[in-house]
Amino acid sequence: MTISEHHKRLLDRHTSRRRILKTGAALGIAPMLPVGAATTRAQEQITIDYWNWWDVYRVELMDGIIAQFQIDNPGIVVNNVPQTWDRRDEVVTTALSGGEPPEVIMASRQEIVRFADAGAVAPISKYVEADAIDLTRYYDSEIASMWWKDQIYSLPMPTAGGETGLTFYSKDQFTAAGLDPETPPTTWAELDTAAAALTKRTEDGAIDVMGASLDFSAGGYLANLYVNAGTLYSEDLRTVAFNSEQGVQTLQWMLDFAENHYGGYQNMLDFDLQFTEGQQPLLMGPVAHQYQNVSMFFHIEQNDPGFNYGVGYRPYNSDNPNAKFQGVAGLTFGWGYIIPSGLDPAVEEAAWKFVKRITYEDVGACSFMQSQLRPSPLQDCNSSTVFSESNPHWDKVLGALESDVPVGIVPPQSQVFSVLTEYLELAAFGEVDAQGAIDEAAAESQAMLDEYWGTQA
Amino acid sequence: MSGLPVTDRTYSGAAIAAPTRTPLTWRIRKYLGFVFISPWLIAFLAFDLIPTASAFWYSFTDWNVISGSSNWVGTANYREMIEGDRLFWPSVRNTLYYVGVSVPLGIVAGFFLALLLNTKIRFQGAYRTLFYLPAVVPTVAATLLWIWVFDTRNGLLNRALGVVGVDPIRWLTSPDYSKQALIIMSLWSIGGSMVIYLAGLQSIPEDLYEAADVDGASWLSKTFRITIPLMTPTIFFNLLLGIIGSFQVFNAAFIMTGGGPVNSTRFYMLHLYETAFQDSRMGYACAMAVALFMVVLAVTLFVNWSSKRWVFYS
Repeated sequence: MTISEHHKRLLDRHTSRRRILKTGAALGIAPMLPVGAATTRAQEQITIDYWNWWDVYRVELMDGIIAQFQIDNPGIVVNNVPQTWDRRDEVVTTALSGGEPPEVIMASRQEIVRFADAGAVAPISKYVEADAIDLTRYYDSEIASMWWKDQIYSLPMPTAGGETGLTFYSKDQFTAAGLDPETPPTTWAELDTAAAALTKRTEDGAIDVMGASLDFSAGGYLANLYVNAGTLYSEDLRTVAFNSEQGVQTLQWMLDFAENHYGGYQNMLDFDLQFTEGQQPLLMGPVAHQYQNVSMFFHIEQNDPGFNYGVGYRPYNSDNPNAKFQGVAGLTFGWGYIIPSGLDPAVEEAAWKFVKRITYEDVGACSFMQSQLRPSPLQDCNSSTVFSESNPHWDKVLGALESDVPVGIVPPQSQVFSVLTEYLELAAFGEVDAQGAIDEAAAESQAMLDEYWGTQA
Repeated sequence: MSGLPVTDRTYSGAAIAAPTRTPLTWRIRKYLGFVFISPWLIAFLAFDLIPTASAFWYSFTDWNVISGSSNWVGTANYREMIEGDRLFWPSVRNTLYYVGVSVPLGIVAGFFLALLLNTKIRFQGAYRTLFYLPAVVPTVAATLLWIWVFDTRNGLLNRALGVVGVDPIRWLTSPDYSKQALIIMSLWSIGGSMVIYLAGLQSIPEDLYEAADVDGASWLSKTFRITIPLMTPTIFFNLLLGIIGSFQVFNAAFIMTGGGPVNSTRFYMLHLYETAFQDSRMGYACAMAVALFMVVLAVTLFVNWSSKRWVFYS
């Protein structure tokens, strides 16, 4: 998505400035305070139900931030309501359409655009302007994801970037395969060589060790498309653009990769089936080189702190002179915090204050990410030495975030992804060739775009 | 009461005054039944009848559940289902296949199991409990368990088949076997119908079997000439429940396969769910729900009609 004029005006209004992280005191004190410790009289109290998916150990961290927020904002009580992932779409949709939505909902990037387009969430542009929110603090790719049609609807947290750009690999496996453990593959050709050396298959062709992971979903395909200088849509989001030469070439490369190294897509599916959700095949050994987002650092720390690993960038197609390494932000991942439309103005303002706390203010936004050793969408938060001292690969993380390009999406995005994924799978099963799959997917996606934009006239 | 005389006589001939109007309590009593069933009635209206009727209405609109916008589109949703939705017919075919195979299989397996557990053996209660247990295991937990069972390389099922020389089958990763896998999994919970069959079996009068024994009838003969005919009301009941439930198959595909591979497990309800909650096209989803309702109703009526020929109530 291009940054709108309004967005630019807001960006220009404020000069960029470094913020000092103020985490220790707040997080040290906050967990000792009971959530809901509002000190104001009950009749003046505004209660914010905050639905989010920061579960398990993050609940306590979030409770700490909420406790501090309530001290700083007497009269506002925030109920931290972590939800389960099960049937998330249904839960959020029902909450919004049911007439009594929670005041703040953690929403995916796709949802933000879809809900904003439907008028179900309140734009926060006026608050951003009134509170002089410095949007230049955010990575451009991060904040761009929060806009829809000249209005901003949320502020980001955590990063949508760093999602597709990073690769993690086992140095031990690289060494055992005769590869240089300090030099991860940077191009498709190098990845081919590495995968050939790292992959181990049984006599019957099944995969024992997958040299390099490959994702045939729409998100996986598009991440590869962008390192082959392709794009999903045109700048104005009205035309499908993945049916380009690069689009077909990318899919063909993926098909060849799957066939040459793994004996086809079905072998890959059989291999994946061995692992349950939450398991980390890279740490367990069966995967040697894996695309993974920044949460991997945490998984390694939790499951196998001694794991000997390296971090690289997603290999790009060096045969294409226009191609280079770049990640995509907000295409398949990305979160913001929406305020449903139609709230009482005082409640809406209280909700905004809380959204600002967890997405913009150091004591909430920076500290919450820092506690998880995850990067923040706020650039200055990531300059803390806490990160660089605890994570030897931090420069790679920052490099990935800086390389990320914003990718515009449309309200019927889930339908476009569904079509694209279906045709990618058909191609992977050999039911249709790369050209045919991309052509068919593009034709159907374009029809969806036309239908959507037709209603916007 | 208007036809009653003002006065009447008792059998003893004493004149008594007939009430000029019905006492209030009697008039209230007439409606008292509604009061007692009101909790159910209110819930039925609120959660069944009104939503169902609303779904009929919304099926003729382009209702977007998020924006709340709803415009009358006539039969456009139904036409799109038939002509425009490329996933509609695959989902119908998958669902019909599932219903056609899983329902008869479930009935035969449940009935056979009930017959076995109705015999007088040691630890009968323990066996019954064991076979019923899967029926109370949450679907999600059971589904995760079955993913391991169906694992191509190390799964329990392929290992067992390997013992008798069968090559590994790609239960969940091949479009040729994925539906069969989910059908096999559906047998996991036949404990529910088994219990109903057991209750039915125990209601068959013992003297019928004793008479058959006197006549020298074999076990097979008794099963086909006494047990099955007298069990037809129970079979009919389980058949109806099975058909209705199978048309709504959702959880296993939602969790295990997500509709894949290559849409081979994209069942009707999964397609409906994604249309409603991922795409926010609730008007179209309502049309799909109404179409499903009509099909299930038609099949149910047909089975009900056919029951006159094969269900024996005495």
